[in-house]
Amino acid sequence: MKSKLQIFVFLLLLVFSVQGQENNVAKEHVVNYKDGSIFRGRIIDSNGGYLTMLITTGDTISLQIDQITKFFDPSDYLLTRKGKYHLKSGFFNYTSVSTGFNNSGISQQLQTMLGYRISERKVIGLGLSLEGHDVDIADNFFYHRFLTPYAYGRHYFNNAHWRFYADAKMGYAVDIEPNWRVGLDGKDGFIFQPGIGFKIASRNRAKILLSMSYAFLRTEGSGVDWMDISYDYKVWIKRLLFTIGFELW
Amino acid sequence: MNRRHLYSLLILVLLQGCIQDTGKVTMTYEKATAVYGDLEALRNQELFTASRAISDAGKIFIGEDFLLIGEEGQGIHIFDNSSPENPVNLGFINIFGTREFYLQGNDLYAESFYDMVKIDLSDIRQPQLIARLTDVFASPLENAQGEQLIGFDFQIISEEFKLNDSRIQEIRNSLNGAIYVDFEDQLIPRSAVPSSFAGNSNGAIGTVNRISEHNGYVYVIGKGRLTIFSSNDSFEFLTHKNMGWEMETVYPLDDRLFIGAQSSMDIYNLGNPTDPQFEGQYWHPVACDPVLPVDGQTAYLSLRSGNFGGCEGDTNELLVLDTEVINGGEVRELQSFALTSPYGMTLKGNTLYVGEGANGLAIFDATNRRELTVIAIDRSIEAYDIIPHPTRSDLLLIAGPDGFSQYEIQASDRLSFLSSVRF
Repeated sequence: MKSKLQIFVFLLLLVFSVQGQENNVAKEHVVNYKDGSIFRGRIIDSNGGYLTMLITTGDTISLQIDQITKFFDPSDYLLTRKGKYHLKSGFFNYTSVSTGFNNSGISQQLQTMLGYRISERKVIGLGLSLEGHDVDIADNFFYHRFLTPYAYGRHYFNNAHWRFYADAKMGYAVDIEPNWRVGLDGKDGFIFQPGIGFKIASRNRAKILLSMSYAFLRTEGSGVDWMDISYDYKVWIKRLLFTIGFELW
Repeated sequence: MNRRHLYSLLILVLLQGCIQDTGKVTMTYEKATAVYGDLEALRNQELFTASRAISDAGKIFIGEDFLLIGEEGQGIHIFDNSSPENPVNLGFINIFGTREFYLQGNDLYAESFYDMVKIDLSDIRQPQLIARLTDVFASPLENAQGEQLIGFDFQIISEEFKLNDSRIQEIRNSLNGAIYVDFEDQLIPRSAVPSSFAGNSNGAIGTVNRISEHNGYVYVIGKGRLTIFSSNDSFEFLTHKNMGWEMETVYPLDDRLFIGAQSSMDIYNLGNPTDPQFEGQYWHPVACDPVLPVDGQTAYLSLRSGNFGGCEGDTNELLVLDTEVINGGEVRELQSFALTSPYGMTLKGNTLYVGEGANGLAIFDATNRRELTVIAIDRSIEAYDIIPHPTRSDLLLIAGPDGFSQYEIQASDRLSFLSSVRF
């Protein structure tokens, strides 16, 4: 109970603190030139090899298309600083590794997911996770392995250079532990894994995400230890996991 | 990330150490309760008594015209088998605590809890105790009333606990430190094969024996210790020799002793029969492993494992090993055959028979001892161990779950059922 309260408090802190972090994310088109010049404004016309940009002074300028190295449309990008950006729409791939522990044992996850940005702040996805979790029964460690298809959702709290978010995944953990393995017969389970994290803007389409989450995994199994004592168990595996992930596209 | 985030993160990580998995565990274990009694009375009970029904059969010995069938923990039944169609139960040899025995000529060697006994069977109607060597495997333990430990009562206990209940650990600790565990390491353990042959009166030796006689010496293997007795003129305890761990089978051939242990097959040289010297070893995954050396260069090793006590794993195969030790102790593998659950085996002429338990009987052509070929897997026979008939070259005896059966060997090396002795 104490730990659940702590998570709740932490999430509240996060939400309220990031609300004020909407920094000067560009709302205009941004054009980078080969000579290093950066132009901000609204593209109002395209004519031959030129774009016409309405800038904040109310004037218009012409931009040579063959001199442009990058072009950011505010409907697709959240440009943060120094040419770094987040993407606002489209599909992406997210691959991550997680590891974590509690008093009862350790957990690992290797995940890959196809995600879709359904709005500026919301992401959904479907993924597959290869994961392993210890179940500790009086210092007997029964290591369960699963292949987990899962559904995923993420909500961003801000549009800043560091985009904070809360996410969750829910999946069905298919036991892939071979039954011949020493003294263990694992069963399938299901997993719910809420978390929080942040994504760092970059100058390319690859982003780094760091997060932490709680995995709540319900499973059961039976095992035999070296003393020929057998254990049949139904457990909730609860682990704090730290994740590093990479988003591509 | 501001300071509040960092503090919250830090607190969360620190609290993580307090979070535990939750759930329920049903713990099932065999509880051994020590039984105390009058050890001397058991040692001095009448050796040969009236026949009784077989209730928990163990080792089997096939004589020319008699049968010995072990009664686990109690003794040995003697049958007159001069008429194989109608074996007659002659009587019962009381040997308290015995599970393993071996017959060499007319001499019966059997372990008896703390002791080793030698019994003269030259007249199967009047067995005579030659000697009882007391306390050779362990010293008797006494309770406060002065009674001696004479065995254990086993009871299956099943209890449900919360996942993190400290009583789970307490039970494990109590079992780990129990007298039973200590005695298991010293006494002769129960065989991992439900039913097996000690041998036959024509010199054939079973492949899952813990006792064997060779050139005037009796070798008995415990879990990690070989005990050696002289068996010539006088029956005497000679020595214990620590030789590894989880040993299961012993088979002497020529001047070597082949020992099947759960992780290896070990070869010892018997140049000095009272002090066998390590010669070579074949390492294998944890498995129950009867070994059958067939000549100075070749041995067959069956590895059996599964989800059961003592032999957990996924290795089930028959190996052909080159026993000419190289590189100071290495034993080479020549061939391997994937099987389902190999138990005991025997070589009859040029045919190797390997019991597959409930999964049948595997038959191999062993004309070339070092290059076996599969003849057939007969799924109709439940075979835990096999031994040739001592006098009839056309018969093979197979130990199954409810007794043993006689089969006639066909020209094709396949077997046809003749009769069975049920118990």
